[in-house]
Amino acid sequence: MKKIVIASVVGSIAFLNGANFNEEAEKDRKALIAYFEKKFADKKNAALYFPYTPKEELENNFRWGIKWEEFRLGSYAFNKTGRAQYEEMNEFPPYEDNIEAGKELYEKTKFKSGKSFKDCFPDPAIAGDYPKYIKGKGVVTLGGAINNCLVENGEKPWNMNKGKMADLQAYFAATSREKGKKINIVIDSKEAAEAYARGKKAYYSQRGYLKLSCATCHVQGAGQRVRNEYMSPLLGHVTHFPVYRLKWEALGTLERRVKGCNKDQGETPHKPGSQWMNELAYFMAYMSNGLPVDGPDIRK
Amino acid sequence: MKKIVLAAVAFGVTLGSANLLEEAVKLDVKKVCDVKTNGLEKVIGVAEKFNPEAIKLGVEFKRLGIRNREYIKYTKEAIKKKQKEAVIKYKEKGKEKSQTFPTDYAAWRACTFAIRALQQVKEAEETWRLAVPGDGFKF
Amino acid sequence: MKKFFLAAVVVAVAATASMANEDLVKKGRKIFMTKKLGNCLACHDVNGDKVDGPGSLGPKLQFLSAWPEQALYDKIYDPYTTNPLSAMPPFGKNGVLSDEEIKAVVAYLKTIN
Repeated sequence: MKKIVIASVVGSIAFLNGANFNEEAEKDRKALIAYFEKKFADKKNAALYFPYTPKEELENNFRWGIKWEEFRLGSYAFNKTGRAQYEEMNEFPPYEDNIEAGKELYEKTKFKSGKSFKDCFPDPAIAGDYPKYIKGKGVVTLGGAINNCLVENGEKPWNMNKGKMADLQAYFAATSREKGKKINIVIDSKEAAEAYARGKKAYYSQRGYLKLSCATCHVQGAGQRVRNEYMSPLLGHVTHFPVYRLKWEALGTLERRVKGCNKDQGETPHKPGSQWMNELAYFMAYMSNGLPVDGPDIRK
Repeated sequence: MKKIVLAAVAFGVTLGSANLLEEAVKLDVKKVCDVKTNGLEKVIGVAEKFNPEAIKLGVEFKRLGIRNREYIKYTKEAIKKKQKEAVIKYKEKGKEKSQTFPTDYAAWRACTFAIRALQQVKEAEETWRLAVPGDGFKF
Repeated sequence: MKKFFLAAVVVAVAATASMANEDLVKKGRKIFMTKKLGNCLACHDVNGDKVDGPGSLGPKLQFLSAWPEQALYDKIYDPYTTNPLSAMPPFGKNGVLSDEEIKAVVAYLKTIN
């Protein structure tokens, strides 16, 4: 009886403390959802949120009244013509071979140590749980965890942008999607909260010779166009990775895409696996907490 | 004793970094990077001085495949050889490429890129919260 | 006779100046429309000119002929003086467009009504 009482007291303290560490992140996440739902609610507010979008475009090419879960579709949530093309492509998804290849890697790779991926990841439906804050290691993305597994078992780490890495992640994501998993990022320590705060600051800081922050395009600029390309919202961004990008004609990871964004900002791209990259991903993923894992998917 | 010396050196090095950033922030980039008034050597010298700090802080500028370290390296060569044009070499997707600029244009750019990358670190500190919904960004 | 001669000189000078300006406008328009130069069309449409797929991040440019040249120059040089969160890059301050290049763009912008 005494053990149960102590356990429940310890348990509640831990719960309370855990609830405190993600307080700022929860506030940010809810404010972000409120912003995007308001922005994409109705073209009545267009003067405020889309001040330079031509009226015909707002009338003819926008879907309005978009709610939380729909944002996982990125710009296809509101871009009508884009959405039609996207749905067509998904009838014969180009990433199916990647999922198959990923499954093979998961089931058949034997490490020098004699172990396999199943030993590191007994349940493959874990795409929504990453990035994680691991004590002593800091933030680890799914790619980082896969590479840790390889290295701990005597193997060389994989390129974090594409190829085998993307294929294995595709299998994890597809399995997670099948099982109805959600993005479930946890902040349960002071260090994790600090990592989140650094990632958040990185997201909102202007950088590069173009002096653009990630937010310039994906918060304030979401729904507006650079040339003919609509900018997708931060909300829902991480759900659809790894992504089959038509521009790459291949599957790529979140790290690969962020590197491309750095180039678009005019800054030398940050390295996948770096603290900067990991903590940025941690912040981005937390913003999509609760949304369904929706990878792999197609994007332009 | 060795530990104390090492610690002091490390501290000095960190102080040194903070100094480069603080120094860059105070500069008038238009004035300092003007080739006509300062001359090529001085302008590329400024770029050389500050760009390593930008690299260290992860904020080095890169434009159309060319990182500022490449602008600096090849512009310096062109200045040494007294060439009117600088051929900037870089790698894109594993392939060797090059772009040619007038030497004074390249020097101005290299200097501007180096200083501005650091100045923006300070500027971002002051403005980033303005963009956060629920914080400085009202909607 | 002298008056006629003077008039001819004035016309010739004016003609050369306007030809030079025409060249500058052409140069500025090229910078505006080219992705690897100014890439202004990434965000801006232009009233009275044909722009290939202008973006919607920035306003459609009009009535700029009424702006003082210095104001146009300053805006391109550094738009952040008025809005710290501007989506418009500081083309001059950040070393994207040189003093000469900005002046060319300004010459083009002055033709926009």
